[in-house]
Amino acid sequence: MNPVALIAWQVRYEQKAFWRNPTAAVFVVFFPVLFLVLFGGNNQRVAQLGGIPYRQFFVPSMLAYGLMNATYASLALALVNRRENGLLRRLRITPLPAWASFAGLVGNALVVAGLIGTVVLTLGFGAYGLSWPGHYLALVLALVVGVIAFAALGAAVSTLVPNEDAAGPMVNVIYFVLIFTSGTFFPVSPHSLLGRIASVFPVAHLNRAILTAFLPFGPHGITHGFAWSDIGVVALWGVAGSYLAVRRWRWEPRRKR
Amino acid sequence: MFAIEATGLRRNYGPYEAVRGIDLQVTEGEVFALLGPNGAGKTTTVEVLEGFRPASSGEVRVLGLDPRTAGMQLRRQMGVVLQEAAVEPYLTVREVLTRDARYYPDPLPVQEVIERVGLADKADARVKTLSGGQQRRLDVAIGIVGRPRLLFLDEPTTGFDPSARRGAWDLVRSLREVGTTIVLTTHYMDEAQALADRVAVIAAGLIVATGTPESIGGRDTAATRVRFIVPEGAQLASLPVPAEPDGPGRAIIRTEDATRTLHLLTGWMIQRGLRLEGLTVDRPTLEDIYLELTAVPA
Repeated sequence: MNPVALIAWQVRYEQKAFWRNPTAAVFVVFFPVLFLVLFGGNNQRVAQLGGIPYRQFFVPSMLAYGLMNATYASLALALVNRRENGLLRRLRITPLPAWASFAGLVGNALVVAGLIGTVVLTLGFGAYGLSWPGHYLALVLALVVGVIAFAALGAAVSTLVPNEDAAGPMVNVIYFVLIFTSGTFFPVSPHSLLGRIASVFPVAHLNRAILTAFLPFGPHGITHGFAWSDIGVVALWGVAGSYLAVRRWRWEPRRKR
Repeated sequence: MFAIEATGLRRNYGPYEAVRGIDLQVTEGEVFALLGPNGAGKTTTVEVLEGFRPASSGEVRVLGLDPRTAGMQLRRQMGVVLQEAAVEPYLTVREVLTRDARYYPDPLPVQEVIERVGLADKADARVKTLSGGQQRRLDVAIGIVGRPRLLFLDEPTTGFDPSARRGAWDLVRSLREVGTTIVLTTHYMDEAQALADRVAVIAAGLIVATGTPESIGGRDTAATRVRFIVPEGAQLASLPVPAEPDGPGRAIIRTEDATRTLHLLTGWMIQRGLRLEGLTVDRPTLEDIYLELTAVPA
């Protein structure tokens, strides 16, 4: 079977399994949409971002949040689960190459992220008067780099989780601390202590990279759309994540049964 | 033609030698059972053959290939039923098998596989709703869906009820009939006896005996055992053939000539108007031989 058909085949079954798991589907897909509906109607302006309307900040934020849900959080949990239950072990006895299995998972993440993105943007444009992105290409680049980097980070974090019971807490604590300190729900000044700490990590940079693509005007005048340094930091984290994931990768359960 | 050929196979974990030089030949088309206590090196040996682990030293050929380097080429011709490996809980039996079948060049029809493992009425049930025994049957189904030339079964019937066990045995026999080579590890001696063409017993990292289930460990030439309850009023010493006590009130005679021994014994009993209760005549069972071979020297 050619590689594309094989990946499509994998994605098809990953999709079936994904949507039948209610917990995953609710946390990953429903939450960004729910938050958007809850907070998207806020009519304040964001002084810190040159007085843009809050929704102009919040819709792209939910796009970033959905992307990370579909990649980092889903993948980290799925991989721990598969490793500890012996699914990865089983994978090694079939002629399915490991890359195809992983590509199936990432492909699934892409489909889910695409769906969240579509819903978030439709709501954003339709209901909350989001302005069209200033720079489509910048948006696409930010999303693509984001998906790959956060998928790699999900794989990396899965290798740090010792067992299934620890997966939820570990994956989510890292995740939510970063989300809140990185200005996903409310803007955090990059010059504050919190902002400085958060800017070491990739979440704040993904937020800014996506936000910048939507802003014809930034806090310092006209933006060029491509937040190169932010995209660069996200990509670097992706490289680091890939390296860690490959170095620490295990097919066997960590917990001896 | 050998499906598996290993010479001087060794595998150590640090200073610990799990497998200490095993020679093994499995002929194509036979059912080969590996018996041995936990920690004897059984799993390590099988994992080396499957290509999961490299051998520390020795020559290993599986279907003419080196399992360390053959990778996909070997996996396409090989089925493995592992002991502990889950299946995606949210897919159905049919979905899992349909998906996996596509990884192989010449798979069995999915419906046929489902029927052969006895999951026809669960074909469209999600994996997480299956009972333990049904999941195990799904494991077997996944192992055979690729129409393997060589199938590894790691304790395939552990946790099965007697009828499911018979079903699994029938399946193994039917696979053997179409020429599949099967390597089986098991704790159940009756399973090895019922299925295996040949048996190897592993103890402490070495093969201590190989042979057919009937002849292994000298079973076929071992002394016949005649056991009975010593009738009231009879003394062991007064019997016409030398007997030893075999638990309270029981006696055992080991003999090379069972016909004559039985004749003498029963004749003696009839003469004295005694009845010979609890009489059994047998050779050591496979289990007896196994326990003897794997006994840890005191």
